[in-house]
Amino acid sequence: MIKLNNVTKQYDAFQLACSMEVPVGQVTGLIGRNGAGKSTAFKAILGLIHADSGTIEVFGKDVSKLTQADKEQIGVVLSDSGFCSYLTIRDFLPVLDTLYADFSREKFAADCERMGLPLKKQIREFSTGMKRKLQILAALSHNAKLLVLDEPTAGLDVVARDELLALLREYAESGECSIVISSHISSDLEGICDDVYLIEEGKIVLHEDTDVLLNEYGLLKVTKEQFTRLDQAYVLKTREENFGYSCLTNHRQFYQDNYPSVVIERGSIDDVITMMTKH
Amino acid sequence: MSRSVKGLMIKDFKVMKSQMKVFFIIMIPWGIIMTVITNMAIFVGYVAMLCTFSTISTFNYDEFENGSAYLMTQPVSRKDYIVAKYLFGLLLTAVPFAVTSMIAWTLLVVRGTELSFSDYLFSISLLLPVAYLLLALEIPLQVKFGTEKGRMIRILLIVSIGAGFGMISYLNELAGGSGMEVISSIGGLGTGVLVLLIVAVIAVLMYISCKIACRIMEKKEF
Repeated sequence: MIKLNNVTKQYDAFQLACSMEVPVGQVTGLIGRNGAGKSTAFKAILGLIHADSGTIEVFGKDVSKLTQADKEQIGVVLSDSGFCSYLTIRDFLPVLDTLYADFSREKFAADCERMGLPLKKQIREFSTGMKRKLQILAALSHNAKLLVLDEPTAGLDVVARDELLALLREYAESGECSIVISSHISSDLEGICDDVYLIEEGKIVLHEDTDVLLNEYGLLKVTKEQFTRLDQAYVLKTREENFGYSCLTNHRQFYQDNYPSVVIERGSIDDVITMMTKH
Repeated sequence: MSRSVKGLMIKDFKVMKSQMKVFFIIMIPWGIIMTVITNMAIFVGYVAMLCTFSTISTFNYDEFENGSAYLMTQPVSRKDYIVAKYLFGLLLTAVPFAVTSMIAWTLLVVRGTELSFSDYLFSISLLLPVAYLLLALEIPLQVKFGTEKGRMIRILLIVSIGAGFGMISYLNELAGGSGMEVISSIGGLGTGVLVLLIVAVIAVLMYISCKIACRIMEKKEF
């Protein structure tokens, strides 16, 4: 559905240089610290920026060749952009109705009201969470085959977040829809993603299936003495701590079997981010 | 007209509608001035210019809080976006121009003007092309520089055009108020042919301007 092949984009003090793929029917997460390049990668996928080199394909076409019909199949949430703030949801109904062939005014208006979004209030008076809800509902409103969601849960309270994640899960399971999503809340991604890419300083430093990450990755907490005796063949990253070392492994079972005295925590996306990105 | 152009124009009309309050506040002093002035062309010209600036202001509303980026993810091409702005500008300027022209003429008739309708039409005939000329110059500048960077260039542009037309108006008065006839006679053209020529020039300028704006837009990043 999406294929980034050796895409580079140079800014003054930052370079995006990444390759990634989002297969049909899969939910892919893009994780990383603030400023790691997640939004830049999303903008490249959406054709909002021009890559210096490499290729970006969406629906098997170069992103610059996407037609209006192709773009109707993409639902988007952007972390730093949204609907024109001077309009109301009611103002946008005829706009979306004209732009998208598969859009229902009535259903969209009903969904907005159900989510507590006032139809007659200017969007600039909405809270961050409300703006985010509106973008998510808009992204889901026209039966898109591809959802590109940059921080869709930012600014939402726990209840709204769960509700929207359930909506996304339901949407993903309903057909051959692909989703690429970023979030700084790792639990959001653990519950929904089939695989995750970790981006750091513009480069993809890890790509793993979420199940593998959660079931086979682990964090070893070892003293300095234990560390010297530890077989480090499956240690991906080591970090010095007060008590000794934290070691990220992708073979948790191996260490559980062979080092019963070592404290081993189950892997999580947070651990991966912390271990793989801290200098 | 494609669906995307139509959708974008609906959006701009909705934006304008939401700003009608501001528009009317600006119009109030003019409503008062109209009751005393005799040269209605000033009022009609003012409305035409105001509408031109209103078209440009829709770019600002799109850009507010980086909204253009989100807009470009919707099923609209960059070219459609520009074409929609030009069509919107042409329409937004022409309709209020026609309406205010008629209101102004009605007021003149009520006051018992000695001016004939054709003379009145001549007096305002250049205002719409001037407004379109401004639009043709403004849109590519707006797309290229945005609101903040383009401000100084815009001020210079408006001052230059104002000075230029002030000069024309002065020369027209020197020629005894029959500028159009004077210009027509220079090239041996009839007034009708001259009007057609102006329309053709503006159409060509608009086309070139639109092409330039599209090219700038294609290169733009959000």
